[in-house]
Amino acid sequence: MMVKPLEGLSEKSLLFVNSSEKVLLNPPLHIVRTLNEDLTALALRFLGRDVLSSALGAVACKLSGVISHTSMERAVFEELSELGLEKDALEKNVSLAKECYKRIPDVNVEYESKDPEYQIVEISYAGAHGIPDVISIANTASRKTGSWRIFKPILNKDLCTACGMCYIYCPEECIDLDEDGKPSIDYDNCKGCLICLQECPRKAISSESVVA
Amino acid sequence: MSIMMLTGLQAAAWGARLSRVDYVPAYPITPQTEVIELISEWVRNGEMDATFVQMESEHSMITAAGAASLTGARVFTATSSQGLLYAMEMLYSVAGWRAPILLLNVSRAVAAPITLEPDHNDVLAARDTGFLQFHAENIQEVLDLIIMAYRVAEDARVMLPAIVNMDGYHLSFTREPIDVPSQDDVDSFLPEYKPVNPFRASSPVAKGIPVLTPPLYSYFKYQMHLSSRNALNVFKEAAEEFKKIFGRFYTALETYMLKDAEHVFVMSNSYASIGKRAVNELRKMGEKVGLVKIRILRPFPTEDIMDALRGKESVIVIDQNISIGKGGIISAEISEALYHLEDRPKLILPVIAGLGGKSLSMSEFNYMLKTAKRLASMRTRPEGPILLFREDEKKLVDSLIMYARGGK
Repeated sequence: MMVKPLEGLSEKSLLFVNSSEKVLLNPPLHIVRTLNEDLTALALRFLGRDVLSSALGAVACKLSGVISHTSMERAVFEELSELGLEKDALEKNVSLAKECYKRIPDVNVEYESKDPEYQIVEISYAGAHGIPDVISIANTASRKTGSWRIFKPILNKDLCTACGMCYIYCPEECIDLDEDGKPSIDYDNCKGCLICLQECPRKAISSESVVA
Repeated sequence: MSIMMLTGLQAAAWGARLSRVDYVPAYPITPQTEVIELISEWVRNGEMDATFVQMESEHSMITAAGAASLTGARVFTATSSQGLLYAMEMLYSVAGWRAPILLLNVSRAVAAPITLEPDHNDVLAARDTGFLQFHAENIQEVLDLIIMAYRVAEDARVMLPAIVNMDGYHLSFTREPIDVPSQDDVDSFLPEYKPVNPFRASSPVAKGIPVLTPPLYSYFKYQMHLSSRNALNVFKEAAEEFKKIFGRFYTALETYMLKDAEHVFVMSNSYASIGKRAVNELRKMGEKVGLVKIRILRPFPTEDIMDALRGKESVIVIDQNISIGKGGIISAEISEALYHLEDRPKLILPVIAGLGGKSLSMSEFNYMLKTAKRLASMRTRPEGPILLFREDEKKLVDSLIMYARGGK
């Protein structure tokens, strides 16, 4: 809506997508993915956490076509050492990076430098329209953050006692209570923080991963 | 209406009172403190129907002023110098919120070195914030410009906060007979403040929001600029009505003996009175001189400056401020306004005077004019601003410095 990450791309561009889902683009672009598993799944496997920085670094290095895997591994190691990571974490990150690098197919990247052309307009006085007030209330929910989720909370209604704790604790107001006082989760917006799972005194909420 | 002997601070308090302000967040600082002392006394004894709160600093004071204004309260507050600078980040915010508060600045030179006496570096530090700026030459203008400022700032075509500047000491602690308008007359001139999307529990609104997409920030800033430019016409309209009701007429620039003048002094604030007297004296000696006084600095009255100064032999801009390492602030703005005119003056002579309240004598006016005439006739540019100083002052300074160094 506001941010345009694909601006400036042409038919010659490569788009790396971290997802195993199908991607539809118009006009179509050359899409690259890691083979078999997406980065999130790999990171969860290697690091136990969905921290993607070393994985993404490896992908970018491979796609550039000019950075060798040894240079990439050394770079990952040095960068994370400076941050003070422990030896165990360092090794896991380097292994993850190595694997991601391998799983990017060899692609030929072309380089071109062409500035897009824009029209210039004159800004005129816009009255109250030019004052940065937001009058449309409760519009946060229209930005669907559910797609950010890696883990999805699942409610077991039989175990639920309608205590309302998940509703109280959800930091994004994504849980409503129905007529029986039982929670209904707004999956369009739920970011999967799993605070509801932690707070449920009956352990009535479990989670499942959304990545392949 | 009645004639009262008032100090500048008393007149300012009357300006706020007659404007029926609702809320006065306050913090004391020399030389403005008596304004808020008088207002607090009036509020306490019921003569003024407003809420007065002393805040813990000027930074909080301006924040409170802006927030209150956004709920629909008409707000007045006052500061000087260090206090203005302390609040500086909030000046930008309040203007960005489009909250039309009125801030009285009683000018005082900025530390360091510390002094209490006036110059304009304090108010000019705020020139980029989005606040409108009105500069008063005398105490009548202080009172009148406060009323005018509310009218202009709160206009839907502007909706920006305003500073009314008055020189500390020269205007704050001296008295003049002042025509204090009647409450009825002010009521007929100054309508009720109609806030845009004010905070109301019944209709939520988010103001002062972050805009994390760069074009949005640019857009809203451009709109602030365009709104400020509107203020020149809004002021003109208001001035016509002000004249009808109160009998006094105000313009963005005041011109004095300008028509056939060859050399023109550009000044502002209380020293413009000294300038007018100097023009009188020089005219007696046959010199064709005049004076332009800047009353509205923001928005900058570009067209009026061009009209007033084009075709003149020389323009002597007396800056009672200094941008260290460059020179006077106003002279740079004047120069830009005149640059593209075919008939721009032959010479713009920048002069620094009156810093820290340093006096301005007839000898110095003579010197400035003599220098201007010489440079203009030689078609030579000035080497830099004249840093005005007198021999008697130099002797005084030398002896004080020697004493400070342990000499006799």
